[in-house]
Amino acid sequence: MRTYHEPIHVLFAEEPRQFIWRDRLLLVKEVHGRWSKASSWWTSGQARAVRGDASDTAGDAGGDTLAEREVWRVEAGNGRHRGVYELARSVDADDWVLEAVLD
Amino acid sequence: MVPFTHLRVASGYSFQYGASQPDELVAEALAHGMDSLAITDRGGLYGAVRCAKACLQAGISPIVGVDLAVRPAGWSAQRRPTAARGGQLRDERLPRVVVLATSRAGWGVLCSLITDVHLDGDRADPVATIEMIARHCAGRDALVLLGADSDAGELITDGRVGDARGAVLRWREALGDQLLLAATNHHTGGRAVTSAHQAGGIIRLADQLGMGAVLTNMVRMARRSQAATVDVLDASRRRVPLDVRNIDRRNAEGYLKGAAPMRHAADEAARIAGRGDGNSLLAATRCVAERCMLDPLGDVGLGEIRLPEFETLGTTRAEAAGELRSRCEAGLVRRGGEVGREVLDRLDDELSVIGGLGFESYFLTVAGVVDLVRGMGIRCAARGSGAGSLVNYALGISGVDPIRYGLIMERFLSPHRQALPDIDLDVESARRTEIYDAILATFGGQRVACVAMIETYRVRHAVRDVGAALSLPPAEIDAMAKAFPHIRARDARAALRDLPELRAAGLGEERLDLLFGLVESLDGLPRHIALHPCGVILSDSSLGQRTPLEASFGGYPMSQFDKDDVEDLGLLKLDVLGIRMQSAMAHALVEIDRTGATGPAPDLEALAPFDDPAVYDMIGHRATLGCFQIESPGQRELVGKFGPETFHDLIVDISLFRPGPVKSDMVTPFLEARQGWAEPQYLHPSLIPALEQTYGVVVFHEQIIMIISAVTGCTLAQGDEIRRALGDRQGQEKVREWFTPQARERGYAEEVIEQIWFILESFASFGFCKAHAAAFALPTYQSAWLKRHYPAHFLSGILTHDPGMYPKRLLLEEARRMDIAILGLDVNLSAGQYRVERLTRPEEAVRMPEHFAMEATASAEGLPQATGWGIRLSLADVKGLSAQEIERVVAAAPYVSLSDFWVRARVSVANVESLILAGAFDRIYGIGRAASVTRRGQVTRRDLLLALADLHRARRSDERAAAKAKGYRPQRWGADPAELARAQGAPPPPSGQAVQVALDFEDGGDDPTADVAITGLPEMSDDQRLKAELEILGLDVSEHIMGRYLPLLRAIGASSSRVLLQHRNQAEVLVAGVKVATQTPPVRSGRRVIFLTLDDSTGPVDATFFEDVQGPYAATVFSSWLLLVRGKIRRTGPRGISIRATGAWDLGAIYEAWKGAVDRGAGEEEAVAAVVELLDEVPEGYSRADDWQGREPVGPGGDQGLEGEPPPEGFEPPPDPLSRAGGMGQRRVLVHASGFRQSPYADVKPAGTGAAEAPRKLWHSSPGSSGR
Repeated sequence: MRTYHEPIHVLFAEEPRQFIWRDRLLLVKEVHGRWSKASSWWTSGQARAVRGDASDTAGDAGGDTLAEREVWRVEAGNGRHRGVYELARSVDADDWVLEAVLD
Repeated sequence: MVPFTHLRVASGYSFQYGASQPDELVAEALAHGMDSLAITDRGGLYGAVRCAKACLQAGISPIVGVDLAVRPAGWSAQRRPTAARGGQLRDERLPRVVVLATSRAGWGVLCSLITDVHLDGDRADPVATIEMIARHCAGRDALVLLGADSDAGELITDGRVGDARGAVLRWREALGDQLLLAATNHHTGGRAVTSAHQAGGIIRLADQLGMGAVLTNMVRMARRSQAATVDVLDASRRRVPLDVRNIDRRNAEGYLKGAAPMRHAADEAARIAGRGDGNSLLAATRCVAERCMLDPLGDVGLGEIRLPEFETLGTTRAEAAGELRSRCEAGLVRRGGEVGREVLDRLDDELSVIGGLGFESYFLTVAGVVDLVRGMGIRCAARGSGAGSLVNYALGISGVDPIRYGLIMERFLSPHRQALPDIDLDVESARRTEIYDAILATFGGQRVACVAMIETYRVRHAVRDVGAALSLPPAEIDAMAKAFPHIRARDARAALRDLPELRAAGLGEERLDLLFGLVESLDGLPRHIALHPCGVILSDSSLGQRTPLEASFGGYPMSQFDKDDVEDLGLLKLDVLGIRMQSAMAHALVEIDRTGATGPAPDLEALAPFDDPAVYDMIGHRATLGCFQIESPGQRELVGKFGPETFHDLIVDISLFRPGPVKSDMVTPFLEARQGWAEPQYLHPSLIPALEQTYGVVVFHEQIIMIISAVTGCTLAQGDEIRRALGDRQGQEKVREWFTPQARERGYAEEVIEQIWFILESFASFGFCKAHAAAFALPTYQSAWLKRHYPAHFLSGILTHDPGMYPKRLLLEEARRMDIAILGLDVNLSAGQYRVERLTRPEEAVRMPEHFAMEATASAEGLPQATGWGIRLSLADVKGLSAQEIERVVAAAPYVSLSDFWVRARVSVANVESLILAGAFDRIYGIGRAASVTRRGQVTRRDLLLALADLHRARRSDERAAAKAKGYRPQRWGADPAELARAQGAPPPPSGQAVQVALDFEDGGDDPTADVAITGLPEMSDDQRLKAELEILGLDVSEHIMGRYLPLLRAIGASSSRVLLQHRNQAEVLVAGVKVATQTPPVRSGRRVIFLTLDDSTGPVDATFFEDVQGPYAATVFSSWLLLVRGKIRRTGPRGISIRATGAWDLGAIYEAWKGAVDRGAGEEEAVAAVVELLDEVPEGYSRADDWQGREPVGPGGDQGLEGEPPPEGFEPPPDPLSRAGGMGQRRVLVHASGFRQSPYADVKPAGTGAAEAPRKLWHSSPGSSGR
């Protein structure tokens, strides 16, 4: 498994359909799984503000105590090439990154 | 599609684990279209009855189970950094199993299993074993689920499938096909607990072993949005800050999901397990759910009634009725001699109602308990509506003759109600546990259990727990929590809007939004189970099959159900309330006997017919400090105007001073008619019999019942049903539809019907139960009688047991006014209680404190005088002195010297120091007050301290700290829950201490007090003594605390309690004093009004803060204990006076300013000018409050409509309507069913001291002697 953590563009409709990584368009053939992970909301700017560490409250949007990161493990490819990719984002946001590629 | 049922759901009753109330979960299940729902709380059935009730209402089937921690053989805690405060592991994170009941018998299995698990091992840490579960469940109506957090589940996540298989096989060996595996798929990543991978592994294992597998969601919250609350609960339960390592939740999937997402989870897990889809998994889950569905009535037992067997009462079913009758008749003869026709008819009526309901056993049981209590020489009185029953009077349960005082039984017991009647017993608080022991011994541990009380999150605890979870500094958390009045957690942000003092403290800042959001989300969640202060269940021997038991802190067997649950299950609950006043009176009687005081025979049970004019004279003069129920400032004002002359007057007085009558302003018309200023008004002649006793004003519930009966012709019993129905709007509608035609038929005019209806509608829920008031009036009269005839002895009881609303220091003032000497602490004469002494030495004569109004007449009017008596301070008031130490000090007395005391009393050095500083050795060494020139050769307290240090050093050199013996609990035997619970309780304090007897100094001839060397150190000054007294005793004994402020008060021309009456109406005055009480009672306008009572050494001063001044000054009123108040005099009657405050300041701060100016050499006028400058300044923070004003419009109905209403008796509206909100921001108003409005902060315990310097118990804010 190689990890990347590179921003990508994803076409999403209920599940990821296509994504563009390093200028290549990959089509999702099959979704292997999806899992999610809660954020450490108590380290967010809002929580720090409660503690009085007011240094960087601005610019930190992570005030939502329900924020979660979700990961989709998909089999995708174009043409002959096929691979298993892990795509991650914050739930209901568009900040997709390619986490890893499994061979 | 197969409907889905959640089989594993933890509600909030899992104590700091689940985030939702049972009814929330039931509502959510209903919204998903589910027909059943399980409740499987951790460690017990705490929420089961509530859940079953909610299911019954929603029309779905409850499934009941319990989620238990299991310690497998050879299991050791994983090393996780969950060290709690003190370093102990709070949560071992043991593997768990869920046990579900499949029938009514299964409910019993759960009860006995839970009881066994709780009473084994450590209290409040229930851990089961596989053997224990097998012993209770195998072959019975229960199923056991091994889930994702079981030992097998954890082994699967570790990839040890073989070991997991072994673990499951061990369980299956014990339970056979009662064992099921339960997979949970929360879509967490990897192979962790509740991942799809683990769920698949569990299903595969079940398939391999040929076992059933089900799907659960391990629900901890009704909705996904409560996820953060779950995290806070995890952190609080483990007492650690929020951190990934400390919380169980990985994502927010553990909520009560609908069928579709559950199918998705099932499909995913089943595919990993090698099944095609989730259908078979869901079908198996449904099959188990159908097996486990219970009927709330038939299986859980809601609405049944279970009384002790007749055999335990020494009678049989057949003979019970006759036994009850003969006991009643015998009792009536004993009570009154002659028993007339009327009495016998009433007895017949009552007995036939009791017989019809089959409650003979109930009355015999209660009578048995009362006899038991009296037999132990403990004072006992019934309270509540039970006093209306002649049977209770005849059996000796209540002490008030219901016929003589016009009390009716129907309010108490009605053939129309199947519910058990409610009899509460008031007993001596100090001996309540003896009574519990005796009841347990008499009825047996199989039939008796105490009722639990579930403590839930309110705002202060919620702030503390959320603050700690978010790692706020402890000092900051403490300050925040204490700033709040005792309101519900969900009102936290509303309070920030409403209360200026919170905003002034900076709590309204936006940055705290997250915190207060979480605080509100904790609202009402159970956090702790405790022993109910009075409830005892008496049942038959099947009790153990009906409720799980655990041990209370004190080692009593305690049901897991609270009083509502117990009632729903139809268990006989007897409230045995510990009443401090009863203990105080008992102490007074003991002291009367011990000191051989002369006077009328002190037999409190023989005071009937309660007509001593001297007692009523004292009450009429408002000299009721310390008397039960009639001592609060408001009550003293009321008795002053009312002037009760008979016992019936006392009953009326107590009923009038209730939130209801005060709220709905029944007091004014009553008093006007009573004083003869206005003719009583009767709407119709038929109402006169009911209303005559209170001059036409509706005061009692009983009067409502009688009015309904008189107008409609129904029976009194029906009348009571109708009165109950009037409690809510819906019921009112229905009653009205029935009432109007009935009244019309009986010839009442439309107009009169309208008016009568208006009375019923507005007063039905506000009146007070007359029988209850009569039961209260008895101890009221008894305490007043004792105060009148044995004031010193009475006060010693009050001081010892502290039953009232006033701090002890105020009671000492009262004693001085009655010419009773307050005698200082003395190691040879003081005991664990306040004791009464005859004065023998002249130096102990009373010294009245100097105060600044000596020229005024003494305010001892109406007070009895007890010249020649003194009250000796108690060792119990010495801070830090333990009960064992007190016992040793008393047992080894007398002492001849400090070294003698040191050797024989074995009191810790710090406490001996306290005793010296408080003057307990003064008499032995002849120490007097500080004088400018000390007598040569006189020992001082400072010398004693030096000598003590030497003694301590000498002992330390040859002392070794004894190693604490390791705790050892003997093997448990037997099956009596009472014994098992006792074994788990806190160990009893050792009693019967061996003490060394006094050495014989007689023959030596030496002066034993020569052990203290005279060093020539000066004696402590008066100021230092006062400070020591306040610190050690919490009492200013040697002089009044106000003494040091006299120069200031004289300089600024402050007034005092004694001379207030000399002021004109509307005159502006300054008063100062020690805060005695703050109250925020309900008033009719729906505004918050703060009542402040100060003690200024000449008497109490009452000041009222309306909303217009609360903005700038509320914080000061709540947080300071020495106050200077500016206000306008308002005369309310010949003796009545109150101050409408226009400002309040901390007296200490003012004094500093004045003293500072004086010390700088400023002239008198200049110094006063410095003070005036302070008073003219409006405090900071006030302007902040304006930002809030008008931000939102006043709620619907607002307060505009109230302007025209007459103000309640004794209150004056703020002068300027434009400034009426006075910084109170948006005002919320609670509207009662009868239309009455009230501030949400009325009747709520106000915010705490916050003043670090406030001495121990200088004042406390008990809501008064309501009897609790």
